[in-house]
Amino acid sequence: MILFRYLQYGFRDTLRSLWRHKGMVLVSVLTVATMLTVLGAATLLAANSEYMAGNMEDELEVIVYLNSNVTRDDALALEPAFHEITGFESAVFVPKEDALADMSTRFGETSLAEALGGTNPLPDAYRIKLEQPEQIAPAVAYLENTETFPQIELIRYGQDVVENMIALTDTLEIACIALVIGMLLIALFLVNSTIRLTVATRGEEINIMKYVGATNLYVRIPFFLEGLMIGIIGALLADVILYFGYGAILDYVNQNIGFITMLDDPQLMVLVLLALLAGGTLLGALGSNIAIKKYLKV
Amino acid sequence: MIQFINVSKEFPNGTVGLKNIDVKIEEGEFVFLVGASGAGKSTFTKLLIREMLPTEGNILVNGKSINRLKQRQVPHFRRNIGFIFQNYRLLGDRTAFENVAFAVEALGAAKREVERKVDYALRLVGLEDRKTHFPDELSGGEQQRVAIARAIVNNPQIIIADEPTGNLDPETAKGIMTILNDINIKGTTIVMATHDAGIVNRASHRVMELSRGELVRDDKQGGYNIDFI
Repeated sequence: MILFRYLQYGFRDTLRSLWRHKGMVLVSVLTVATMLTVLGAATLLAANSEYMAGNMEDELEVIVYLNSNVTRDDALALEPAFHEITGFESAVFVPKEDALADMSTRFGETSLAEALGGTNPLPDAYRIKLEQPEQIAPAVAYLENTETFPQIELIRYGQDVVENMIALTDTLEIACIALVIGMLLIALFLVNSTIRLTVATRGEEINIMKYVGATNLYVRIPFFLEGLMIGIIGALLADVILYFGYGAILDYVNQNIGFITMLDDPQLMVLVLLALLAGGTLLGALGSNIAIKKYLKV
Repeated sequence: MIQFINVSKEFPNGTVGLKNIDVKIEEGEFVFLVGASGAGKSTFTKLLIREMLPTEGNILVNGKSINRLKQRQVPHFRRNIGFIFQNYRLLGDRTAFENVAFAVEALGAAKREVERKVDYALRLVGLEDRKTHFPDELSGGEQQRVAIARAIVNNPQIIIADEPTGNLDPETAKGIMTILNDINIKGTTIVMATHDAGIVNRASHRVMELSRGELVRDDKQGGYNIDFI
């Protein structure tokens, strides 16, 4: 019964306090919202970096050019041997006719076949894809063995691109984790400072409550509810900003910057928004509870 | 009702707040606590409301040692004590009614009981028509009367007043003393720390004088100074 009345008075006091301290409440809400927006943006940036790095990795492949004296049947018979490569994903045979046609398309209307007098100097080739960029170098070493693969003339795999890609992916991963952790720490610090400031201005109130014999529970309830509400409102505000902001950026990039493909994953977005809401709620509730602790020791 | 048994209080920096205080205050007594600043009056009242613990000795209230109270028992103990501060210490964002009401609500009382008790307390201090006013809309005397209403609203056995007239003009101070005397007549024990010689001399209640933490005088019906006749 007492707890019910405490909650009843707590809700009333919370609403009254939110209204009477609206300036401070606004500052707290905006701080929570700003920090969570930045944190959410950092998370989405990290997800996008991973996504883009993944896309680039997918495009990495080893091109194996065959000797011109290898017959078509021999060339096709080679395919199962590639399955032995560690991390093998796929191997696509590119007949020299297709390679020439592809090249002609790139040269425009001029018929390359005609210009070459009906001959095709291009070799047959295989485009081999591996699961990870780190597996390319050992695969190339394996394919360069002329005893196992005497049919292979030349191997191209963009060594620099692969090495840079591995370095970039590793750096991006570390940078993104550091960014998210950094933002989380800054958010925690700022939100905690704001709540402390809010509570400090009302330390006197807590003090007087303790003098008249209020229990810690009675004192805590309105501050807890107030922190909870500030956290929820701030998080909802951050969610709205992120949802519409990311949508707008996605539309702009899709329409104007063709070479960048941004992550468009509604499930991930919902997850991030829910995580921010949970984080904001927790931050507000726990933050206010921790902040009033020292004023309760009277 | 209140008993200090060889109570001493020494602060961590070595300052002596109280030294070997041995006093007994009976139920319904009105006691003035006098002495210069730093004499130990605040330490005495803070020990009495269990804001701090003595370094030595024991404090009994209603026969029970408050030294041994667990932290969670302190709020319940304080509900038997009303505290009045020199600077009123009202919540600026609450009306006179709300300032008194939260002392009752803190006990988990129902809304109707809160209204009944608060209205009664405000009527006792003559502020029934000012209950919707905020502290900054009230005079110093009125604010102190709200603070008194807050202190008496739960009908405590003891009232501790720390310089309750310190910020008031003599006429208003007299009014406050009338209210405190009325409360005392109804049986409430009052311990009042004060610097106001006029008030002490006019009242002729028990006077306890502290000096550098020691009890140097305890007169049953004394004045502010030892030579008061």
